[in-house]
Amino acid sequence: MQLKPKTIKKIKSSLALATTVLLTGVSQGHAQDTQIADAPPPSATKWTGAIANLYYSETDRVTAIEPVINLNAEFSGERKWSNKLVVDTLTGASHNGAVMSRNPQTFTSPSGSSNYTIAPGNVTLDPTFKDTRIALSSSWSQPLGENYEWSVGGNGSKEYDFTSLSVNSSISKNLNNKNTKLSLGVSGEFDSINPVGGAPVGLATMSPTKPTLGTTESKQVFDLLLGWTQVMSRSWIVQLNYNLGHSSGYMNDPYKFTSEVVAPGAGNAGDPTGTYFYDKRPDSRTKHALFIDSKYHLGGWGIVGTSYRYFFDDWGVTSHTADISYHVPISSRWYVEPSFRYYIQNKADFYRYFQVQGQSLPQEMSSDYRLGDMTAMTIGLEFGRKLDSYGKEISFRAQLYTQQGDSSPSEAYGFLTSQDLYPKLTAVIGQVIYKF
Amino acid sequence: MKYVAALVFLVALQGCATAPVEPWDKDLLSEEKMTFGSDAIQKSYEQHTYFSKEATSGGSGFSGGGCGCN
Repeated sequence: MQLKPKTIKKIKSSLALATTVLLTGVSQGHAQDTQIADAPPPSATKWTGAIANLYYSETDRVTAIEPVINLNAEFSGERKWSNKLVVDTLTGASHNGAVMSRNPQTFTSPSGSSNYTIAPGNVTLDPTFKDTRIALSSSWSQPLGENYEWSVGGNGSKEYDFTSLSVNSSISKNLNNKNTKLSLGVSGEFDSINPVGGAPVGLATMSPTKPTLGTTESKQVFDLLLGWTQVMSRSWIVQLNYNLGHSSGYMNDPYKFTSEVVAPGAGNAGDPTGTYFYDKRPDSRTKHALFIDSKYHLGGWGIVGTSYRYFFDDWGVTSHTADISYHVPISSRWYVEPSFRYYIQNKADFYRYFQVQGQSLPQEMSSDYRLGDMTAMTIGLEFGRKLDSYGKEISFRAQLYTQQGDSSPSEAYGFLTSQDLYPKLTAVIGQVIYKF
Repeated sequence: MKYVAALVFLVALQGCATAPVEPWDKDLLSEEKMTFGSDAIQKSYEQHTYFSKEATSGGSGFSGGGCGCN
């Protein structure tokens, strides 16, 4: 049966009205599993939120526990106020940048008041690592006219040696019958860094009386985010983002250093000399990230999510991140979601495994493993259960994160060739989220 | 060169889009898991973890404040 144009028009307008209540997501960035008959009256404030906890534990290294409380209020006129409180407790030991050795090594703790010794053949971890961080964030979003939305937010966080305050704002426009959304966002972050024992002068040698820059340093970070969200078809939605970031100020890691090693030719070539140079990085960093995210609905077979990010900056770091997840409903209430992430990174220009004794020091130098050549993989499995039809849900996720680099780089010589110059990092991650 | 590649990709992506999807055809798209930002808590945990362990950050929205991650 062929429908006449007038009939099509009548059906169109009726359906458009009926589906307005169900329309979410593309324009709002959040969807609700609503049933029209039971939905609360439009003028009532709707409270939603979540309580969550993360457990992160590296083998022999850092352990973190991070509870989160999130509370959102949705007012009439699609105005939304979101708040989040995060507490992050860290304990354990953190890699200090020094190479492993066949001999014991003694390091001064950041405070300068004590030493710790690493046994031969052990990874050089600083056992004095401990911190608690509290972060609070709040944001407001609302429509602006018929096709625009606007948001503004602020964040503050405090930990023992670091304080951060940031503000952000964004505006977005819906086009093409709400099938396209363009957004522009900016943020500014102001950090105050007060390292334990003072910020060491970059490239100074480690000692209990290390020269320091002063007790408090600062850093500023500015970000620009351009986003384009596009409904590709009834089952497929894609988002493309470009992020430009610029940081300046104190960029060093005050707790990491580079080992000086005996030059080639000596009987103990490659052994640490006992001298260590504090981390020294450029005082600014400009970074670019291009990110694409896709969600494809397979009808009753679930939803496949894929994303890819390409990153590069003026420190010489480039990286690729690829992620895939498969959300599968296994009953009307339960779902399972396996996921996999692959990450590969090229080192910063000033990253090095060690400094050869007798060679002149470079202008910048860091042995922070996080700036090195590495690959990382995360495999995860999530189980979740819907508790009602209004978005109440509980989920559990377990992940395994592994990170590895070049344990025997071509630069290694002498006794360095028998040491692991990029020890593998393995972490288990557990997460529980209750949404209401 | 990177910027040219990005621009070409953008144009190609727009070419892939079919005719606009009407509101009554957005039943699948209205599901929570089909929206970007539905798993905000999960994403913020991931961003914090990877920001602390890798040299890359950003791309998928503002991280919401820094940390002195050592």
